[in-house]
Amino acid sequence: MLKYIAKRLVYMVGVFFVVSVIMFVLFNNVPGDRALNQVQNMRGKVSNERFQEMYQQARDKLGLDDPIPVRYVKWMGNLLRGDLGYSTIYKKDVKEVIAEPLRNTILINIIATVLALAITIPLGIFCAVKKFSKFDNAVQVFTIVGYSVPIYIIALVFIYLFSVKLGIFPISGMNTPNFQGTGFAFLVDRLYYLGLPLLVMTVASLGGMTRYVRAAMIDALRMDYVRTARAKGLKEKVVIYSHAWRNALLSVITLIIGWFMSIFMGSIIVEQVFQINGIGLMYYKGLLGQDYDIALAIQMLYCVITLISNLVTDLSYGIVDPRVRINK
Amino acid sequence: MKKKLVSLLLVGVLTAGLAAGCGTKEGEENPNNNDNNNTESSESNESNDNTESNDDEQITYSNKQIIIGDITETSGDITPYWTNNASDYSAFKMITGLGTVEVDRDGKWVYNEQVVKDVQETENEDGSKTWTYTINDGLKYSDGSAVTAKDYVFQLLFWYSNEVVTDLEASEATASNCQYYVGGDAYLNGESDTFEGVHLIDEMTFSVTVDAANLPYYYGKALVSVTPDPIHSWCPEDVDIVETEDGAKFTDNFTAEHIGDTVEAYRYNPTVCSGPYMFTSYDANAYAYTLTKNPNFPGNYEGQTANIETVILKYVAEDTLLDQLKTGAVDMITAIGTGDTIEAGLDLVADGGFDYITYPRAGYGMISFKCNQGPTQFTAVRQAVMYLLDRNAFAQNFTAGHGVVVHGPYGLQQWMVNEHAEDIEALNAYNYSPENAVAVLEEDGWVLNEDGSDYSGEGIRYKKLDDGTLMPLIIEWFSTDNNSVSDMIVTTLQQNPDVAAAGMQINQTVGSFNDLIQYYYDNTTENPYQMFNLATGFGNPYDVAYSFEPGSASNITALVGDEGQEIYDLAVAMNRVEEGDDTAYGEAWMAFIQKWNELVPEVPLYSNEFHDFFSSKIHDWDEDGYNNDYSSAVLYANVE
Repeated sequence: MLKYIAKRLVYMVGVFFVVSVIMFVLFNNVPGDRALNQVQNMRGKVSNERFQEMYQQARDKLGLDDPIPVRYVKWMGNLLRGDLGYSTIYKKDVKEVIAEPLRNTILINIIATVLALAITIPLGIFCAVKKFSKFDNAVQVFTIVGYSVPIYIIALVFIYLFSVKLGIFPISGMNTPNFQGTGFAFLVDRLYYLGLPLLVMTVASLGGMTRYVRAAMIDALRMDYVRTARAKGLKEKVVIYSHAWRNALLSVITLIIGWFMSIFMGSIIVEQVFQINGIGLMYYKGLLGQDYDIALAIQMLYCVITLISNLVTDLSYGIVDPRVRINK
Repeated sequence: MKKKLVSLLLVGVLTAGLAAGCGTKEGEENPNNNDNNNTESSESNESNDNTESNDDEQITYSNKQIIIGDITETSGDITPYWTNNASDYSAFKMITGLGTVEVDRDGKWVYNEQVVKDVQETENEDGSKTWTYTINDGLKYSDGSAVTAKDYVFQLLFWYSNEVVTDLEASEATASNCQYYVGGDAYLNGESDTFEGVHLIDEMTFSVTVDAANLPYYYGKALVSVTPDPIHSWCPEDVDIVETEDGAKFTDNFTAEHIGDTVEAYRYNPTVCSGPYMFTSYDANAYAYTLTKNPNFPGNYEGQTANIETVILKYVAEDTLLDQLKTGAVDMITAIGTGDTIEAGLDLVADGGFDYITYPRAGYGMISFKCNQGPTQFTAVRQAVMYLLDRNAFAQNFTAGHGVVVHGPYGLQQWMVNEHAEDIEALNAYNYSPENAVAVLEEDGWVLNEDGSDYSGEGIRYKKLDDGTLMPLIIEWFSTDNNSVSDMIVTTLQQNPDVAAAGMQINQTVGSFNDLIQYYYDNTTENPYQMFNLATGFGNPYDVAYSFEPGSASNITALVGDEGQEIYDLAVAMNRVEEGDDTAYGEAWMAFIQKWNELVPEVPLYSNEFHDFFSSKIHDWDEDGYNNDYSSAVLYANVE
C-alpha cells in the first residue's frame, strides 16, 4: 500500500510539473503587455523618456524580457517556496489576495456539499427502494429537470422568487455591510446571506447525485446477496443499509470524494451571480484582468486538488470494498 | 432579523425536510422561532424604528445611514494611487477634504474659506506665479490631530516622489497638479530631492509656484488646489519635511525601504481623515466601505458638513441593480446611463416608494480614431464614417431616449454650451448621408480600384498615396467582448450595406479591455488598429491640451501635422485665457470645438442623461454632473 502511494506521489509530481509547464507557457503567450498595463497611467504625466524607464522597470520586475524557460524556473522556484507572485490588479502579493476568497469558498462548499449529500443519498436510496412508485417518478422528473437546467438559470429564478418576490433572502453578498454583531449574531447574518446561494448550489447538485445513488442502489438491490439477506430474515433496514448500500457506495464513492475535494474550487457562476468573494470569482477576474500570477496560482491549486482527489478516490476503493486491494 | 430567521428556517426546513425526506413526513411542524432578540439590524429598510413621522408634511430626518449602490466594483484599496476604481475613488473623495480650492455648484473653482485664512498671489519675474497660503488655526483630522501646513506640503511631496510613484508603484494617479509646478519633472524623475515649486514657510503657511509655461491658465485656482495628508500616518515618525532655499524636501531617510511597510499598512486603513467622512472599515465580503461622519470636519467651501451619520458604499452588480434597490439592499443607485435600466427604474418610481433625479453626463460614448496611420489618418475618411453612422438612431436606441447626440467634446451641463448655443447649433451634425460620405471620400482622392483604375462603384475604394502606393479603404477596429455598444456598432455601421456601398470596409477584432487599452494608447504607426469604441469623461478643469500635444504619449488620437498643431494651439489658447475672463474663454472654447468638429478625431455616439434612483426616504439629493460622482451630493442629503 505504501509502495503504491509512493508510486502515485511520484506520478503526481510528474503530472504537476507537466501541467505547470503547459499552463505557464499558455498564460505567457496570451497577447497583451502586463508591464504596459502597470504603467499606462503615467503616460503624459511624466516625460516620454521617464515613461520608457518606468515601463522597462515594470518589464524587469515581471521578468518579461527573460526567455520563457528562465521565467518558468523563476516562477516555479518562487511557487515552491510559497511565493505565489504579485497581483498586477490589486498591487499586492497573490497570497494575500486569494486568502480570504479561498476561505469563503471552502466554507460555502463544505456547507453545500454536506447539505447536498444529506439530501441526495437518503433520497436516492428511498427512490431505489420504492422504485417506480409515484414518489420515485416525481423525483425522477424533478431531478432530470434540475439536472438539465443550467445553474445560472436556477440562480436567477431563485433570486427573483426568494429575494425580489418573497423578500426572504438578500440578493447578493456575504453579510450585511457594516454589520456589528459577533458570535451567534454574526453567524445568523452570514447564513442569512449565504442561504440563497447555498439553496441554489444544493438544488443544482441534487439531480445528478440523486439519480446516481438511485441507479447504484437499484443495481445493488438486484444482487443475490440481498436476496440471501432477505431470505435469512434480516430486517429490511439492515438489508438496505448494511448490505445493499455498502455495495452501492462503491460506485458512488468517486463522486462523493470528488465533491468533497471540490470544496476548494469555487463556482465561478454562483460566486459571480451572488457576488461571493470566492476563489472562482477571483480566478475569473485574474483571467479577465490578465493578472496571470493570480490565475496561475489558482490554476495550480486546482491541479494539486485534482491530483490528490484522484489518489484519495483510488485509495478509498480499497477501504470501502475489501475485495479491492491496492498494492501495485 | 426576523427576515433572517425566516430565511434560515427555510434553509433548515429544506435541509431537514428533504434529508429526512425521503418520503416520510415533511416537517409537519415549523420550528417557528418568533423569538427575535435582534440586537442589530443595521439595514435601513422599511422597518426603521425611529421616531420620525411624515404627518402634516413634517419630515424629521433620522440621518442615521444611507447605503449607496455603485456599479463599479470596490477593491478595498481606497487610496487611488495604486488601483483606481471609480467606486474606491468616490469613497476616497468622501474621506478627503480641507482642500485649499474646491469646485462650486457651477463647476467653478473657488478658495475654500473654511481652510484658507489668507492667500497671496505673486507674479514672479520669470513669469511663474506663486500662491502663498496661510491656513486657518484649529483645523483637525478626524482623530483630533492638528492639520498644519506641513501636511499640505507632504501631500505634494509624497505622492509626486520618485520613491512612491516608481519604487512603491503608486502610479495609478499622482498628486494632481505637481506637473504644473516649478521643478515638478525634476522632482518626480528623481533628478532632484527638493521640489523647487513647493515651500514650507511656517507651521501654518506654505506656497506653491506654477511654472510660467503653464500660465496664464483659465482654471488657475485648480492648479493650486491642495489637500492635506497626515505625514505620520503614511511615514514612520522619523521621516520629516525640511525647508531649503531650493524648495521643500524629505529628510534623507525617506526611502522606499524605510517607508514601505508603513505605507503598505496605512494604504488599506486610512483612518486619519480630512474629509466630511472618515474611513471606518472595508468589508471585502460585502464589497462595502463604511464611512462615518467626521466630527472635526469644518465644512466644504460653503461650510456644509455631512448630515448623514453613516454612509455605506456598496458594489452592486448591474444585473441585479434595480432588484437591490427594490428590496432595500441599497437605498440608492447612481449614474445609471443605459436605457433599459433607466426605463425599469422609472417603472419602479411609478410604483411608488422611490424617486429619481437626472443630470447630463460629463462625457460621452464614442468611436476613437488613430489619425496618424491607415485610412483614418485622412480627415475625409473620419468624416465619411460620421456620415455613415446614424448617430441619432444609435443614441436613441442605446439610451432609450435618455441621452443626446453631441457634435464635439462637450457636455450639456457645461456653461459654455449655453453661452454659445447658436454656435453649437451651427456645428456640422454629420446627419446620416451615404451620399455625403461618398462625396467627401471622392474629394479626398478615394477614387481608385485595387488595380489603380477609376473606381468602378463596387468593392473597396483605394487612394493613391504620395509614395505612389495604393491604400485600401479598410479600417481595422478593435473592440471588447460582451459590449452592447460594440454590438450596436456592428449592426449600424460595420454591417451597414451603405458602408460597403460607399467602398469602405471595417474589420472588427474582439479582445479584452486590457488589450483594447494597450492598442488605444499605442500611438505608433505600427498599431494594427485605427478605430476603437469606448467612453470618456470631461474633467474639470476642462483642459484638453495635453490630449493634443504633438509627440506626447497622451495624444491618443495621434493627430499629427498641421491639423494636429492647429488643434493643439487652439486647446492651449483656451487654457491661456486669463482667469475670470469668461467671454474670452468661451470664444476660445468654441473655436476649439469647431475645429474638432471639422477634424472629427472621435465620433461622439451618445451623451447619456444619467439617472440616480433612490428610496423616497432620501431627501435633498442633487447632483450637478461636474463631480462625476456622488461624493459631494451626499453632504447635502438627508434621510427620513
